[in-house]
Amino acid sequence: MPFIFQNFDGLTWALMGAALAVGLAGIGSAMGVAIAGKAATGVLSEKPDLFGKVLVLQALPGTQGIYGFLMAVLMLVSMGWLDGAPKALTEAEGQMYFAAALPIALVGLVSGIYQGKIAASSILMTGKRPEISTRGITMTALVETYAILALLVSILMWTALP
Amino acid sequence: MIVSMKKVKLFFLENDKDQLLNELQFNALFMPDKKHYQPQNPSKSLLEVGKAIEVIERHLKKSTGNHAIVDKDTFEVQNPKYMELTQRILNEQQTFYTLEERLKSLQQVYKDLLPYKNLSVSQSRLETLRFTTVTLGYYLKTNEEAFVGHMDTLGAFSETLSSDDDYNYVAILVDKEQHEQLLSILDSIDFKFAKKLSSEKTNEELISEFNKEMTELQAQMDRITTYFESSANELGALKLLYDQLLSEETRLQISFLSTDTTLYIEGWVRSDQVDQLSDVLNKKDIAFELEARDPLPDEPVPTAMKNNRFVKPFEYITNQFSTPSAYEVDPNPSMSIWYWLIFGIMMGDVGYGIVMVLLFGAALKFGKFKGAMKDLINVFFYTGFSAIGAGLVFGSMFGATLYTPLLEPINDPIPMLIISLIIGVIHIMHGLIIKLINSYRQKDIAGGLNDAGSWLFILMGLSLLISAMFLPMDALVKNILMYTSYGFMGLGVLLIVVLNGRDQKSIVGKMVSAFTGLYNSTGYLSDILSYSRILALALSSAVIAYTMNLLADMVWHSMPVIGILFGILVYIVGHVFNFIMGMLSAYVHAGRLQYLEFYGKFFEGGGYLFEPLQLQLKYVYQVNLKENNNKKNKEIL
Repeated sequence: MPFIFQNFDGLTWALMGAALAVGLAGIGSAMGVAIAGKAATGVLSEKPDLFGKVLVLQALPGTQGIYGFLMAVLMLVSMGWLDGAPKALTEAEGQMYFAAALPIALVGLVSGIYQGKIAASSILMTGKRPEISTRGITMTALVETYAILALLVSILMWTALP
Repeated sequence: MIVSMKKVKLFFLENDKDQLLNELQFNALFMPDKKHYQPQNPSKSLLEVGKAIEVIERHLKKSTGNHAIVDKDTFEVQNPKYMELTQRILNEQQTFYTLEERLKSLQQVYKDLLPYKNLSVSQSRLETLRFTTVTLGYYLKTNEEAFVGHMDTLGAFSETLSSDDDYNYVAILVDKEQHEQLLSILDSIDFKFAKKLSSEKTNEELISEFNKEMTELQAQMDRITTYFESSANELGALKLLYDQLLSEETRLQISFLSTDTTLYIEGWVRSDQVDQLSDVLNKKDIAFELEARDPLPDEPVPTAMKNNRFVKPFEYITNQFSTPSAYEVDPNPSMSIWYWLIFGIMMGDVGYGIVMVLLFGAALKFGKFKGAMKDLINVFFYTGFSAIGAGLVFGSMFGATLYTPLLEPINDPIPMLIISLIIGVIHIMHGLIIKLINSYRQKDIAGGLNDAGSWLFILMGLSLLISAMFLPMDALVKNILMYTSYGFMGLGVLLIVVLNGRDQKSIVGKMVSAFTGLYNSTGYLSDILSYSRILALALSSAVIAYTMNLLADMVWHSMPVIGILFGILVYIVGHVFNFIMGMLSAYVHAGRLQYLEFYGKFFEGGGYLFEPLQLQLKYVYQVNLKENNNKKNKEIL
């Protein structure tokens, strides 16, 4: 354990976990949506009619941020933070919270960015051939699989938290 | 199911050409071969009518005249009156543009001239002065002192005609010899010259003239605008004309082949509609000869699907992936039920389900949607019901728990995870069974047993084994189940080992093939685990709904009155957001499970759709065929 962390109490560990879950996954999604958005605006300047299809594709990398948010809220609920009566977690218990947040935090960050890239290229494809945009959606969704698995593991870890 | 097709050759006399084409197009039974289509440029009248519609619609707040339902007789006759109307509209539009342009240039001149309104002589007279020059222009107010100083030293006479917030507008009178000097001084204080305007009239007169002309132009433009607005009543007729021309255009693309005495056309007809086609032509007293034959073995046959009302909209989802080939089992009846079920579980909320049913039900009833949009709305309407069902199982209504539910994904996700994986196993086995049927139809039984039969046995064995291991049961039954499961799995493995290398000649080649065949098991493992997304997405929509309730509740209690208002706002906005994101995720991931996990097992695709020669309707909703009145009115999509 790095020395700078040694003096944190359990609640701080748990809060840091929640912060990372919503923070890192949110950063990933924000970057992903922005990458896709850059391509989307380009396509729209030529073909404004495709707004609906392009918007769906641009929204796809946004889910990681939601997963991170979801995980953070679940953790805040179970540590009693929202009731105003936080549990007195031991340091080890707090670190368990921290660990439960890590899967969605890390995978959300990276998969959000990469999903944004594939969403951008699918948007360009939609610009050329709007009729096959569903295939682009499917390919973009393949990246999200790993964020979903990470979320699942985070939730499974969370179910048994103290 | 996929309907079998007949290749049809239609012979007829040249005289009947137009009538025959017309009937073919109205009844939409016949798909001409590609060789009969000759691309044509859109005709001038079609473009003009389109433009006229655009012009009128630009002047309307709400587009009208859409979705008309007309009779065949009405649709067949083009009214020349509306072609004239089109011309008139386009002419008026041209006039409008000319007027608008004139008005704009006038406004510019007017704006430039206005600051010099107080100049008491006409500008052309300034040009004729013998000893002095007059310069008009403006400078920044901050330079006023410098300007006045310079003018004094030069001995020039300047008069400030007007001034606004930033500039002073002046006329400068100076001796002709000093003009050059003046110019260099003016340059140094960033002086801007007014545009020269040679006119006999004084600026004041000019301005009042401009004013008059501009009012006149505006009045004319208003008249044209009123005319456009009043033409809104004719919009429906124009749109009908547009669709008539568009359909005519399609007919014009068709070219016929000829024998010595007759013309003929080749194409595809659904085998159950051949008689109907003859009936239609007989009724119109068209002399024709119809030759129908079964498709040749290697002929690319178009795919026509005939499904019931529930399955039909789901065809869109398959076609977005790939059109089924004409020789395979129609995947839609199987897929529709799975898509419906999985989508519903992913939404998993009574409230959202009710919203879907009401929203999309209303859209179906009142909004006249056509084509793909209508199919999608139908799909969402149906899945609303499965969402309600799943919501009842989860006991969740807009994220609030109503009663102690059968399954609680939030508090105890494991049972739901197991159910998701079981759904996955059954779904995949269903796909494998269809693969078996497909192989049987294509007389490739060994291939079917190898690719599908073997894995069916293995999956069944695994399911038995797992249920024997975890379900409480009698020891004897348990043992029987265990050994049956070993038998199944052994049989499956044996099939792969024996069959996968059947095309290889050497022993080594057979062994390598057997090994790679077994290696597919990792693929099956990841396919089954992929179904855990059903749980994950059901959870995510449930937890976000729960979070929104929590937030709304916190805001509600935070302060009196305003808190309640904001609480309601948070509640509504939060749930709308979650509803939309949940729909998007469910649409994408339910689709993915069909495309990759399900269709990956058996679907061949690569077909092309049966698209008969039919009316092209952009604005008109449907054309009723009178002959079909005893049946349901034929709807043309």
